[in-house]
Formats: sequence, structure tokens, C-alpha cells
Amino acid sequence: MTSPVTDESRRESGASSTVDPGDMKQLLRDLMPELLRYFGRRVPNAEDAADCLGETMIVLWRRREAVPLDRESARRYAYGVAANVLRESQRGRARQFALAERLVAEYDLTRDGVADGDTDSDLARALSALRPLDRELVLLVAWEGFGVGVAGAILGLSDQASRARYSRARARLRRELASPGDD
Amino acid sequence: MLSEPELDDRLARAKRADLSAPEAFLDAILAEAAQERPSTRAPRKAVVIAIIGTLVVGGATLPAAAEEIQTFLAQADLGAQGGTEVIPYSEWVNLGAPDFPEYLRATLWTDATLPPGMSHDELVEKIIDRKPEGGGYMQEVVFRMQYEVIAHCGWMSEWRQAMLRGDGNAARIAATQLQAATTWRGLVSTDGGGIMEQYRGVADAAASGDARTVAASPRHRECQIMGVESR
Repeated sequence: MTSPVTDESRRESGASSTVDPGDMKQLLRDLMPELLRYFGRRVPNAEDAADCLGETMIVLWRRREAVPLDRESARRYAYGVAANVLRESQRGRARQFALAERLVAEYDLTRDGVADGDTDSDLARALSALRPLDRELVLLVAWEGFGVGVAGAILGLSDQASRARYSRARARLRRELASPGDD
Repeated sequence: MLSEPELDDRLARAKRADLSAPEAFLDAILAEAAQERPSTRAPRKAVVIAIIGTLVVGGATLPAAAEEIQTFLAQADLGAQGGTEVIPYSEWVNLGAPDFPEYLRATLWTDATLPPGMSHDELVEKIIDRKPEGGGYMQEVVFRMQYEVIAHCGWMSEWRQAMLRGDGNAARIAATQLQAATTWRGLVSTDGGGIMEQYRGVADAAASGDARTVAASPRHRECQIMGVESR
């Protein structure tokens, strides 16, 4: 059965069933640095970040006929895939991208800047108290610079639900971080 | 209480330093990822149009669970965390397509049966309503998973209510459905590990009449959060 959704709307959204492989490679190449940064902020080591990046690239390449050609839509689509790859990674699945460890050993992955961010254990504890989806929503806005609506769309949330969740999550963070005696 | 700017500042300061890699590293990953591999895609199965409707069990009077379910359905957010799960063999659906609602109404199929008070049409409409405003793509299995998660909550609630009112027949029917849920393919195919064990734990406890274990299960808590399970 042919899906009218998957065919017609891809055309409407700028996607094409005949994406030029060279264009697709260029798109992926452009997205890779920021996706590596995305994973690097969320997984414990460079091997896991490389694994998640490799897995994301595989999914995007295989689904290239569904990737919108419009740059911003493609970026959002890529982050949606990345968010799910990250979730699978956090569920403890085995490493999927066979080359990850070898590549990390072969090439030098560095962290830009003098040091990592502050070790704010109270904030880490407060963030861990949030539901995973809410935490990721807050961090997509705070760390990746997405608007709330776009961050929610990446996570499969409606605009209304995104805003409600975002507000609730921030309110909870503020409560969790309040000093004893604060109201 | 922390101010909003203070919270922004703490979040910004907690951001880890950016990970970066040489071009050669990125090229190696891209080259590997872009290799054409033999397709592992299974032939597309015929779409089964599941018109389940309302399953009425135990007479015309809806049990208390039905009221909870109706309350739940009235809420704006289903709470299911679907996203765009990357699952093999599941079609990607464009949420921004004008015919998306018609598509889902016509094609959403699932292994789940529904407890008293829960209707297929209502459930499908809620799943349609919660789609992201901005469009994007989602695999069709995610819709089935959302549907089956809620149906399972409904059956848990039905089982607990039947136990409370001493209705052994209704409890047995619910326990049978909870056992069947461990094979619902929307749930099974999106299980990244450990999820179906929770469902099997609930099914086993329900089959043995162990209300304490059912109430203590992570699934019960999830359903409470979603508002479908009795409190």
C-alpha cells in the first residue's frame, strides 16, 4: 500500500525520493560537528559519542529519501533521529557502530575550551529528578539553542505540550534548587 | 527561590565543553555510514485496518475504571513518549501532511484489545491531536506503541477494579488481556531492553491474583502518571 502521507507530504516539505547522494553527504558532513557536540554533552565518553554519531549517520543515510531538503527542516529531522539514538544508548544497548572505538583511538577528539562546565551537583540532581523527556526539552533549549516549540517537535511533542512541559520543568528545577528556607 | 535568569545562568555554566574531531575522523564515520548495504527491509506488510470499537465486558454498566479512562481521555497530553523511535521495518509518516489524520484513522492497526470504556476511535483521535504542531516525521510503530501502552494501562485498571469488587470473571478476562499484551507488537518492537519484562511481571502477578505486586510495578506508576490507573 502506498502511503499518501509519506509520498505527498515529503514533496510538500521539500523532501525528495531522489536526493542526490552527493548533496546528502554534504548535508550530513555539515551536520556532523554539531551532532558530535550534542552527543558529547550527554554521554560519558568520546567512544559513546562517536558510536551515537555513527549510528545517527547510518539512520540518516538509509532514510535519506525522507530527509527534507530544506536546511532547517533537515536539521530538525536529524536532531529527532539523534534524540532517539541517544535514548537507545541510554537504555544500555550494545555499541552499534563498529568503528567507534577504533576511530576514537586513531583520531584525537578534543574538548574545546579550557575545562568542562561547572560541576554543579545540585543542578545535576535537580535535572535527574525531571522526567527524561522534560530534561531533554530543557537541555535542547539551554544547550543547543532551539526554541521551545522546535525542541518539542524534535522530541515528538505538540507545541502546546512542549510549552506546558517546559514551564513545569523549569518551575520544578527552580524549586529543587531553592535554598532551604526559600519560598 | 531561584530567578529565571539565575536558572539560565546555572544551566549555561553546567554545559560541558564542546567535543570536536578532526575532519578525517568525520570523513571516516561518514564513509562508513554511507556504505550501501544489502537491504534488511522486510516486504511491507499489508495494512490491517483495525476497527476494534468499544469492547464491552461484564454487562451494560461501565465499571469505575471506565470513568478513569474517560477522565484520562479528556486530558490534553497522553503522556506517551513516542518521538521518532528508530525501529526497523516501520514506515516513517509525515506529521505535517494534510491527510495525516485520515491516514492514521484508516491505517492504525494494533494487536491490542481495549477494556470497557475505552474506544478505538477516541484513542486514535487523541493520538492524532498530540502530534507536534511543527510537523516532522514519526514511525508508524510509535502510534501503535502509544495505543498499546494506554490499552495496557486500561486493562491494569480494569483488573484492579474487578479485584476490588470481587468480580472474578472480569478479573480473569483482564488478566488474560494483560498476558496477551506481552506479545503486542507495538510494545515488543519498541522495547529497547527491560520494558517487556515489566509487562510480563504484571501479567504473572495478575494471573496469580497478586494485587500487591501489580500495584508496586513500575507500570502501575507510569499509568498513574498518565492518569489511566486507579490510585
